[in-house]
Amino acid sequence: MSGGEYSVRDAGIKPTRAGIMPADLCTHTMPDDSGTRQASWAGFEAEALPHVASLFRTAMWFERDRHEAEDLVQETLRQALESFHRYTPGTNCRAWLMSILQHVRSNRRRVKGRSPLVFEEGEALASTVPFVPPVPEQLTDDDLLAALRRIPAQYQEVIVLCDVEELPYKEIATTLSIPIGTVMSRLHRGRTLLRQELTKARGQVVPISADAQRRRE
Amino acid sequence: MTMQCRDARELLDSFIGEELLVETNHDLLRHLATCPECTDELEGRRRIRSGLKRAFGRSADLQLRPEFTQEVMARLQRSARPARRWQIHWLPLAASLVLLAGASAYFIRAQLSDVTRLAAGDHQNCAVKFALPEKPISLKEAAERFDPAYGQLETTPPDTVRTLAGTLQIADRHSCVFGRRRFGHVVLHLDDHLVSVLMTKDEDAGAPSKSDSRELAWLPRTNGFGMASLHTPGHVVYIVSDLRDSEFRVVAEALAQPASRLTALIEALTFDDARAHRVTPR
Repeated sequence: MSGGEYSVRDAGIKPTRAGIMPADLCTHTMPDDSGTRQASWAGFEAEALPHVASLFRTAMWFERDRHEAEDLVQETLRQALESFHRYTPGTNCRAWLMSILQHVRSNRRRVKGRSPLVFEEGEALASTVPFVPPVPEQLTDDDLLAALRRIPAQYQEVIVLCDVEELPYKEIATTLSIPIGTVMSRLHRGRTLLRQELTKARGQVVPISADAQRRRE
Repeated sequence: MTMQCRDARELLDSFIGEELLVETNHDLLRHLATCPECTDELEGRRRIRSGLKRAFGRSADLQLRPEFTQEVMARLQRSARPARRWQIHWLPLAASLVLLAGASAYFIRAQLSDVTRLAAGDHQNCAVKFALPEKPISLKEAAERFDPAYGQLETTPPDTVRTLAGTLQIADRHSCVFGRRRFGHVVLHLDDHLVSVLMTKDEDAGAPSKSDSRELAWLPRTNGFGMASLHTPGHVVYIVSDLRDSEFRVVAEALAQPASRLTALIEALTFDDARAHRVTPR
């Protein structure tokens, strides 16, 4: 394990194809035949509908703007519908949709003149993180979300996809168009940073009352 | 070679994420069984992971407007456009894929017994959805009316079972019917996940291949649920859960340990069933 990256074989991790670029996601339309179209729509609805909340949650976390997040999800679903014939039934539909979401998000950032979602400097910075503090006994929702918000975006991304959306490493690698080793090293560093932030926060966060917690929920 | 704490800690996240090779997984489990510090570390990492998932699920800011899904789906359905001609080339391929998927599904289904599918269905419809047509009855009543063996589930497994994946807590014990098959049903929960222990009479009772099989048999995931079974000459006990494979294996193995009393139940049932079969051979 050198250079801060995990070796997949040495680490005893399931081998897999890494860094697969998402396929051309949005160049085709649905078949002309109305019966097939109906069947495709029904299939799309059955496969995609259960994941809309999950797509929105991820979009909202990164965009921080409800209107923008809804627009992003709608565009994701539109492109998914158009390329639904490329989706293989029985595979991970949520991961497939997340790949499209990431693709759309990256394109939009490029159009807006912001840098696309490629990160390098933060990884070099985080590779110097030496100390892994213990996990605090008490963890509130606010503590966790605030701590996650304070770490660099590339680590937030892999942690959200892995811990919240429960995508396997292979799917995260495909979704973010990065090698699986990078997924693992970002997760490792991101979790270390998250624990540091949680530890720091324990001294500053005033615990909220049970009533306030219930109101928030 | 024994695994060191340093190596174990590098693997813990991949273990939680169910990303380890089987043999590495076993090495790590062996280390965890003898290392309280690494077990605490694992518990801490699990707490962060489950805490984050819960926080995302509860944060009002991150929730969808209830009407959004309907709105966007209606818009998409209206905008679905006709296709270009060249796409017809894909139809034979699509048809082949559908046939292949169908054949695979048939093959997998054929490997599973009807009882196994009913056990998965009972977990889904009773423990998860509460959607059974017939109201469950107590285990005591089921023992008196149908099969004394159901009565043993009143205390087995115990109300609390500690496992490396977390602590199972009792949710309910009853007897229910799914697909005309009666089960003794113990529902446990581990955080947001449900684990069912289901006991029923085994249709293949007395089959030589099963009569000696008192070890956990790992079954293919059915209806999305992890499944394992224990057999006696006259009964089968299923463990069913929506847990991911690595956690499911840990939980099922813990339930099959003597401490969970399930092993003792299987031994007792095996003895009774064997005696019954000597009297009334099939």
